[in-house]
Amino acid sequence: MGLERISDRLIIALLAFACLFFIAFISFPIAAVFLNLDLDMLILQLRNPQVLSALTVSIVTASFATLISFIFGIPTAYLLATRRFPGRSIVDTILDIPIVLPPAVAGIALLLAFAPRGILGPTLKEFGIILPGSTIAVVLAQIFVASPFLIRSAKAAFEDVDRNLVNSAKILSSSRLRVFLTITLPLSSHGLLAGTIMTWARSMGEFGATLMFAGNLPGVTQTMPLAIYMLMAEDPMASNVLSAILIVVSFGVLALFKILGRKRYGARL
Amino acid sequence: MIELKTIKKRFSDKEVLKNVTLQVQKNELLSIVGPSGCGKTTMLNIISGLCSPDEGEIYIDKILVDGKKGRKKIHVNPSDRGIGYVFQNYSLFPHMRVDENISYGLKAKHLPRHEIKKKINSLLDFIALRDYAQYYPHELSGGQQQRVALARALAIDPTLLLLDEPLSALDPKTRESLRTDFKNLLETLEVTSIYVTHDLAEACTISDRIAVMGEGVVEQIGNRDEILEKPNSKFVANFLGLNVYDGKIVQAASGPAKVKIGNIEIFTTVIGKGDGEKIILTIKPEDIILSTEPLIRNPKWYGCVCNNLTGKVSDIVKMKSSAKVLVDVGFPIESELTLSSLKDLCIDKGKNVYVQFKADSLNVSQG
Ligand SMILES: Nc1ncnc2c1ncn2[C@@H]1O[C@H](COP(=O)(O)OP(=O)(O)OP(=O)(O)O)[C@@H](O)[C@H]1O
Ligand SMILES: [Mg+2]
Repeated sequence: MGLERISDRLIIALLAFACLFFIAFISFPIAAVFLNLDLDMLILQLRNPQVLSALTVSIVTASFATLISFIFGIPTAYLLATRRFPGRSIVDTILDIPIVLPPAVAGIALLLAFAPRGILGPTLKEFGIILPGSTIAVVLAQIFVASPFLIRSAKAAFEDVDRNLVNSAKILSSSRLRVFLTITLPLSSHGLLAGTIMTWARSMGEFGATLMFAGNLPGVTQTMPLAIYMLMAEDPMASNVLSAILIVVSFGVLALFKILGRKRYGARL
Repeated sequence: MIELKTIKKRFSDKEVLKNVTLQVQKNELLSIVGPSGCGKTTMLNIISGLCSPDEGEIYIDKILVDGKKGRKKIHVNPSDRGIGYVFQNYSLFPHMRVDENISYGLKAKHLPRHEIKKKINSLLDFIALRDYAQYYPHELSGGQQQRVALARALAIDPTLLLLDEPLSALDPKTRESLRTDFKNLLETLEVTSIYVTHDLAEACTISDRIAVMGEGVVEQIGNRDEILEKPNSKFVANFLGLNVYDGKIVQAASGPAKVKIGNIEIFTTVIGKGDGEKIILTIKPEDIILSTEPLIRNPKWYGCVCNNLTGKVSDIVKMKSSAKVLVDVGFPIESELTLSSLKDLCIDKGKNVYVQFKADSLNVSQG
């Protein structure tokens, strides 16, 4: 009995230690970013054109990438969640590939497909499109890497909608669109929003594929993660400030995600 | 009026509906009872058009809604069948208020706003929830939610109302009171209804006509007394909780008929069947009296042909107001008696008792 108690406590202590190790290991470096920072410097760096342009490029490209992922991702997710068709699991797997693919590989793959010397390069060139070195390439790299998060999350959200509710609505209303807009969409909105936010956050953080496919042109393809890397040596302060901004953004996203995770219906006034 | 003709449905390799043929007259209320998984919900889904039958035809008010017209396959959309469907678990839209739930089908019909408003109010009165229009489903009790689900289904003035175990998710007391509510509400409506339940008692309160379903087939359909008194198959008898036996006629003519269950001979009032013929015998547990004395003491039974067997009590199950006693008389037989009779009898597991029943309480059907 006594021995059991002691071993129980020992186990709890070990578990707590393991947990504390991770908390310290994660929060210490993050804190370090802020400890290196003071307000004057922050204000100064926010006038630094390279910092500003990286911030702008990042926000614009991540937002476009998210928008396009949303437009194509939601119907894809809906299809996968509600229909059974031959090859469905293959489609499902293909859509998951970017999640496990190393970003550097994604970059090479995009180059081999769309760069001027790539497979589709000559065709694109005929239309006057040269992707590498353009902002569009940044967006494409982000879509490639981040859209699976939206599809995953939206698919789960659609699958979570009670079939009986949709069926009840189908009996009462002949318009499929109306059923989708008034039942399926509102009931899955939390999951869709969470997926959208995740995709945006992932796009903001994209580094490897962007660097390889789009390149590192300040003001055109240089996003925040790229700027952080490039400025590390020549302007460590700028790099530090950009990191702090990205951390704040990430925390905001995480908080939103957690709040949306607790879904609730109909709070009456 | 609704008519199902030889409906078949399979899911992958499971035949869920084997051959269902069924007719419900105009403004009639039919209950369907059957054990869990026998295909009741599937049948309603097929009638409503949410699911297509593999074979067979469905007519609603003589109009073909599922089946084949010449070479063409017909499948009328769920919303065009004039059906109200109350699902097994309420299925109210959780993000809409009570009034929005009720008006969902009305808005699809593009009725003028004041008419919708009028309709909502009359339905809220009908289900006695006038003050709850602005509530969300999660703010209502289970019984209230179920009434809203009924109102939502009725809002579109359906010609056919489908109710899938509408009360099964409620506690027994609410269920009982809502059962009478539902019955009264449904009686005031002029609508053909199919009421699915797995509870025989509920089916008996709700409606006169009952269909008993077994694995994918309608085993028997008829009014309450027909089914309770004359079950036409072993399945139905078992479902009713009767004692069911395979027997053989020993002596059909001259005096009381004699039949054999296993090696035990008993009297019955079977007529017009040949010696040696195989039959199915059923008897209600409440028609069987247990006694510690060999004498038949029930004065009403004087002059009747009675069976008097002896056996050993093998199990006693006490319920709220009655008890079931299982006795082995050469075959197992179940008797249901009141708790006070059980007390008077002073019997226990392993004790010997006399098992007495009238010859004419045995129901005999073709084997
Ligand atoms: N969409 C489906 N796909 C595969 N099998 C199904 C599907 N729907 C129902 N079934 C199967 O069909 C059988 C009958 O199901 P159904 O829901 O009709 O039973 P039920 O009589 O309504 O039962 P309960 O009283 O438990 O509601 C079950 O064995 C079930 O597993
Ligand atoms: Mg069911």
